[in-house]
Amino acid sequence: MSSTASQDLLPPDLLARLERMELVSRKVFRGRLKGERRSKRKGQSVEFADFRNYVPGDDLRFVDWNLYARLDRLFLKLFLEEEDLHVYFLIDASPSMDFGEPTKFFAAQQIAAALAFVGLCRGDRVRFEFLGAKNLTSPVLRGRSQMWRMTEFIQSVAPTEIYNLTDAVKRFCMRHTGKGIAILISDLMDKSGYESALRLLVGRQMDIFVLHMLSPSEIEPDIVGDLKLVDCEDHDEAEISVSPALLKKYQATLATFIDQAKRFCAQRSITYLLTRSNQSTQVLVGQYLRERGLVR
Amino acid sequence: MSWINTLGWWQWLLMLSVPPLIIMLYFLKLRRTPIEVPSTFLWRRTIEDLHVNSIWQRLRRNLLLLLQLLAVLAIILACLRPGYRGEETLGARSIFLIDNSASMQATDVDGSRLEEAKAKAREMVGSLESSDAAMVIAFSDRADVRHGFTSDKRKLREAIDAIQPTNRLSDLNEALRAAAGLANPGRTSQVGDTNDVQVADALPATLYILSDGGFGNPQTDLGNLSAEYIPIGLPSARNVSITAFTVERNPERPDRMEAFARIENFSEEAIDVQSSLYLDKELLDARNVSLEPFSNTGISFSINALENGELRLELDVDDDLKVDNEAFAGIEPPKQLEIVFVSSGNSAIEAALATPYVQDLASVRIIDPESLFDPEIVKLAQSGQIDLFIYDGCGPEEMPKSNTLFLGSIPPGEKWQTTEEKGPLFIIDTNRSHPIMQYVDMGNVNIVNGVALTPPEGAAELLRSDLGILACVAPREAYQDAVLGMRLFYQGDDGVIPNTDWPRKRSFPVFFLNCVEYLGGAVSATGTRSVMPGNTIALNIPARYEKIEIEDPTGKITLFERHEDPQVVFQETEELGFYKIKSANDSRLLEAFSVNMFSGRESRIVPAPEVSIGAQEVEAKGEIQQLVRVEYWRWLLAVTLVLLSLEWFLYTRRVSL
Repeated sequence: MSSTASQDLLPPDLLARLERMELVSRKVFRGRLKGERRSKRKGQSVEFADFRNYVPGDDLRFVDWNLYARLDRLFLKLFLEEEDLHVYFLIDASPSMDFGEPTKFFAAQQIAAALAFVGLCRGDRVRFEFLGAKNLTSPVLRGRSQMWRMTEFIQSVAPTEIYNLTDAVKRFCMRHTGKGIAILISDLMDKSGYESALRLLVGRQMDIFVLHMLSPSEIEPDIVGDLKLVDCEDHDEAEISVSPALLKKYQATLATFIDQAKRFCAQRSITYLLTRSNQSTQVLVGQYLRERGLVR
Repeated sequence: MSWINTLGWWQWLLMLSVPPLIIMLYFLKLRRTPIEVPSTFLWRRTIEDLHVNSIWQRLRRNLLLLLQLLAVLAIILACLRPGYRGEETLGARSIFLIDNSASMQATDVDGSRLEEAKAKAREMVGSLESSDAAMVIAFSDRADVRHGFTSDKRKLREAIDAIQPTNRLSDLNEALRAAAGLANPGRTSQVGDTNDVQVADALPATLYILSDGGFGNPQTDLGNLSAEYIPIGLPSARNVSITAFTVERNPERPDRMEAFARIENFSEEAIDVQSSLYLDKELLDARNVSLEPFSNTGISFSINALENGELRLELDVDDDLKVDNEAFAGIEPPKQLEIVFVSSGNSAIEAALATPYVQDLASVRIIDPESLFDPEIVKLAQSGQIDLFIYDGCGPEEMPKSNTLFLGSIPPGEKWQTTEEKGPLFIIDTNRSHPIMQYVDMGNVNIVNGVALTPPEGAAELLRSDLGILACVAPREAYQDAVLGMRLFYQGDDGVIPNTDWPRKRSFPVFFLNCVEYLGGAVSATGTRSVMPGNTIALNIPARYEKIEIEDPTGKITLFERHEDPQVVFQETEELGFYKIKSANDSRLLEAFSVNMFSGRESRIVPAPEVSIGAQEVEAKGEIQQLVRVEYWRWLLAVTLVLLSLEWFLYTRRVSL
């Protein structure tokens, strides 16, 4: 993997900004290793949480001796445990993502890399899962040092596999039982529907974010004339005669599609974020995602 | 339904290959530019949204094809010339004679008979073939060719629509002459017009007479024409009419006048009618009259003598023809006559002209015979301003433009001749029927000398002596000249010698009064004249009235400027009612006449079951039935046009979506 490639994916100035951020989960999950994340569990961090009465067997190191001197009773100091967080990036690697300038897939890679870098910096457990006929899964990455491995892995994947979103998400869910944050980056243009896939993720009680990635050509099609539109995945053909009325109708259909997705997500506590593939990652992560509470 | 093949086999092959060609073309898809897109997911939904209902979508997808195929089918059918043997068509050349006389105003059918006749004519025009020609003539007592032979149905319908009802009588003769003149070769519609060209070919034509048949028995040879009579009106039509109405002075009681009317019932049922007599819109008298079916009765009204005025008799009856329920009559207005008496001195005549009766009627100017050569008198005589010249034993060089009375002399010229003077004379006959001789008893009159007159043609004898005609009156252009072939006096050496003892008799002033009344034109004892609607009336108005105006019942005024014409001929007598002739200068009422529809034939509105034209009997036909093919190909082409328009509309709508 070349450094230029990683630089394209994560420019240095972006990295500098990302270092100061952290991923936010509205749920607090039990982690496996100690991390930099506050947990509900009381533990051994430096952050004080509460006192409790000493019971035999307690670690004497946590007895508050000053209190004992004043009250002549033994109290144990409780500290908040700091834990790590599981962050899963589910990236749609279907050929439909390979459209746009830059491609939707590249934009998805870039966002995933940026968010993963935030997670790595905060000691979260980051995992990439490129959804396809056979999901391409990265090893668990933790710690800043893993950034190069991460970029290397991300860049090794190409959007070529035609698959069913529900099946791919099901494979992910079966493999990963742990809770955490799941960030799905997709154009949601699966003809069999995206709803069942999202329901599977919701069932895992994960904190789910859907980044709906659309290219400008999908939002504002710049086409004229009598055309035969060929689907790049299933080669389905749709014959249209482009007219202002047709384009207006398309816009209405797109708006309805987005609105349905938004409503579906809102009803299931999924955070829905619509992004354009030509949006700069700096703005997207630094501003857009921060405003929407994915990072802070 | 029958078909006529208009195409050859190869043309049919060509024609039948069109529908498959259209279907082939339809299924040849549009060459579209393929574009690879991430997903057709949204596009599919967009197109599906446009075609909500899949059945409708399919139908719609194929609607253009369907319309195109239907259009081709319609053209193919049109080529087969479908048609059927129609019953309501006419011959190749038709002449519609539409009666617009007064009886056609009857309302026994919807609207009026004329409207029904027009509707039937329009219907018949509608069933004409495109190659058929027809002609429209409206007739009353005269014919009005509304449109010559044409195949243009629109023009024919316009000509029919433009026919208006008239108050005239029916007379088919002129209409038949016009139709025959246009339809028969070698005839002309305008006799004597050398520029009149023959407008029709020598082809037989059918004459459709749309009338109630009240036109008598026209004596016209139909020639190439065959006549069809389509009666208009119901046999149950009821009508009561005034067929006569006059007003006259009561000869026995000068202060009274008598109005006579005849009322006739032309219905199958007995009818009670109330007749009301109005003087200038004021009710004078009324009578109830009971009329048996097809009977008539006379009624009379005795009213106070009138100087002038309009009398109107009105029938209050709910019948089908209103136009004959009113009649008009009037009293001639009194005239102020201008009389010139040319005499070298005749006290007897002067006394006769000085009676109060004559003084009421006229102003008499007495001049001596020498004054006749006075240029002023000559001019006056030729101006027509004098109503009567009385020449006593003298005569003018040129006859004046007025009536004259010659006593003992004759008018200049060759027309009047006399015998030698002989005597004594015995009067052997008096023409009592002539107005001049009314109440004039000449039996006791002795005459010493006199002549026998030889008057011009058309003269009416007044007195006959044993020698011959002693007095007579003869027409001269618009004037009348009365001549008495004896003198009253002789100028002897020792004074005046009487020639007769007549001046001493009672009949003498009566004779002069009669002369003044009759020759002066002051015969106003009877009512005004009455003419039939549309007839011409000749009015003798003294030429001193240079400008006169005639006011018709609607108030319309016609101005006449006269150039020494003794008569005024007035033709615009269409409206029923009272017409007044006034002096344009001082609006003085000079004369009046009324226009009345006194025609039993016109009032007999029950349609005739058959009519005879010349020797030919024409029976009534309810329907005109001739079997002629009615074709639909024009309609099919119209349908094609509509289908193509619809197809274009749908296509443009689809493209705009």
